[in-house]
Amino acid sequence: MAGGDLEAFERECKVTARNLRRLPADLRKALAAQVQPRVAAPLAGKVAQTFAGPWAAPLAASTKARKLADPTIVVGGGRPVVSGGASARQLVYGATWGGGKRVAQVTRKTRAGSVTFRRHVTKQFQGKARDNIFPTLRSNGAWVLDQFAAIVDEVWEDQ
Amino acid sequence: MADKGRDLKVSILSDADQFDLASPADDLERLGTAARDAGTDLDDLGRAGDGLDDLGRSARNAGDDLERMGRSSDLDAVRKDADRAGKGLDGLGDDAATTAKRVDGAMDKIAASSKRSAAEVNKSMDKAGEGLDEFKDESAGTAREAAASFTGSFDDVAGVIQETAANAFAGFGPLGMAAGIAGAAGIGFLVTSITEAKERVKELAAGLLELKLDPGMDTAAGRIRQVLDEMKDAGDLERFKTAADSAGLSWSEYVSALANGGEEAERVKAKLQPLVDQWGGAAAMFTEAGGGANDLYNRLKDQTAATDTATTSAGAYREALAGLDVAEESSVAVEGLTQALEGFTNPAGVYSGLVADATEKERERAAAVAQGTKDSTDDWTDYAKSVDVSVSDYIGALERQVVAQEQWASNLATLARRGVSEGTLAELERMGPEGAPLVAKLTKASDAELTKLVGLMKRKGADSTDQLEAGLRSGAPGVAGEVQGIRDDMKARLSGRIDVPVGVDGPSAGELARIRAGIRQGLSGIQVSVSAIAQTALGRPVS
Repeated sequence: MAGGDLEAFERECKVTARNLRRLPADLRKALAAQVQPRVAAPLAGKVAQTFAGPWAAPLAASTKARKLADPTIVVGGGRPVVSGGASARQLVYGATWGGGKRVAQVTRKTRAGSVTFRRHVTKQFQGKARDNIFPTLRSNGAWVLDQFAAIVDEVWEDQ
Repeated sequence: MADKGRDLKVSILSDADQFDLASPADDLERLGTAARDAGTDLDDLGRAGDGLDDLGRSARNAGDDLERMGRSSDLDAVRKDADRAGKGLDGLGDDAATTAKRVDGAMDKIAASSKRSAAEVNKSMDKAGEGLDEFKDESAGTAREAAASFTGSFDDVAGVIQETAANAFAGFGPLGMAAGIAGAAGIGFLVTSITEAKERVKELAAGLLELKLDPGMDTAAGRIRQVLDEMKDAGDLERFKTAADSAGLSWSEYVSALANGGEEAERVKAKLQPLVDQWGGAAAMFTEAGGGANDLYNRLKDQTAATDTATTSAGAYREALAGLDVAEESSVAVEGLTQALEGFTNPAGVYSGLVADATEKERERAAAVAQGTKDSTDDWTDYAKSVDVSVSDYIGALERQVVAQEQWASNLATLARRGVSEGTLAELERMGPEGAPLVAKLTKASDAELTKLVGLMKRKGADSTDQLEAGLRSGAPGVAGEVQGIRDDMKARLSGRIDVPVGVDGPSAGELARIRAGIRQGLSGIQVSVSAIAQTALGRPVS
């Protein structure tokens, strides 16, 4: 396979992203005004549809498209979105807090064998949203690039 | 890319390195592996005949024929699918080329409009465009060549997928992601075709097992099926194979007729007829053998009836032995109760008890006096007097016990009416003279108190049973062994009579009935003996 070529493509994408930030402001804003509704928002919708489980609804509501020239979506927010008070950001990344209630058994080896004792540990839950986000972006990558190229053509023609 | 503590932000261009762009290539590789596995499974299917093993080597030959049929017809569809996939790849190449050129142009425009020189970007974009053209030519060419050189082997299909997947990325680079995703969809045609072909071959194999011929051959098919069934049961497929060879009929011809019908089917039918006649005779032979089997069945039936009689008698014997155990326990309990009743009224015991009480009271008094003196060496015996029991005291105590005895039975009856269990009543009876006042008090107890008493007695009863068992085993091992020996000897002798087949050298059904009746009649005597032995072993009445 062409791993080297893929890496080159990734570098070129990053160069293009930097060039987007160096575009004249009016051109950049015009591009962002088109990219958000035609690329980023549909992409955010597709990502939102992939969430499953009890946190699907708050995660979907927290998936949004940014108004930027580089097609960008954001999943998160600090506002509590579930009954326990966790924010969408915590649902995405998981969280660790507290330090009292949960008791775990820990086994330690000794010269005589091993000894098992209990200790209090923090509460934890694992974020799972990222498992849905990146495969969705990857599978829609070709469509995103095609749409982005079409928008660039249109915007540059209007200038 | 956002980090922990911030929202998850993903920008397509800035975060392109986070997308694992090689994943589509991996997916294609997995598709190729799946195709190769499917081909291997199908080859195994053909070789094994997929369930035709039961019909022996002849059926395996049929499986090989089916596989050839599959290659000649179903795999032809696979070849067409591969050709179609090649054409699809042509279209894919065109689409990917258009996308690549548009992205290339867009990046050029962005670079030119930015404050950075676009020369470096242009150079890499040109390289991307060349890679795309190369992919288009190579992928389409590979698919066409593979379709043209398709030999019918499923390994070829896997090869097509692998080679196309390789070309999808070789030199293509920048838009490998786009092409890879679309390519996976196109190559999916081939995998689907493999699966469908496999299913068709399976259906054909199942069809052979059912021997479904055209309507003109139904009769022959039915007879062949019948003969085959009989031969399969008899484990004589090899003989059929030999007979089929002698009739000039091969499985290849048969399967071909199955598929094509018409004149070929008529020719096979003509060849089959003598074979059917021959094995029709075999079927008659089976019928004749079946007559013999019927006689054998009747003999077995008679034997079964005799066995049933013996089984019934043995069941009665087992019931009698089980009843022996229950009766033994009851007998032991009755013996214990009898002992308790005999010792209920004890004039000598009453006198001794009164003397003991008086002695104890005098001892306590003397001890108190001795302790109150200043001399530490004083003993209570220095101050004790001899004790005596007056006649009036003795008569009074004896009278109280006689009255208690008279009231005892009526009190027990009262407790029984109030719902006290039989086991608890037995425990109270065993308490003897000391228990009579308690029984009298219990008649005035509340229902809650009685319920609590019954619960406690149940627990005590369980302990008593355990103690009895332990006493029989450890307290008097010789006698306990004798008890067990008597029972074992009885079992052995009776089993020896019953286990012998009825009507041969063993007992008749009537004799078995007499044995059973004898067991029941002799049961009481055995119970008494066992109870006496157990009581002797423990040296006391047992509960």
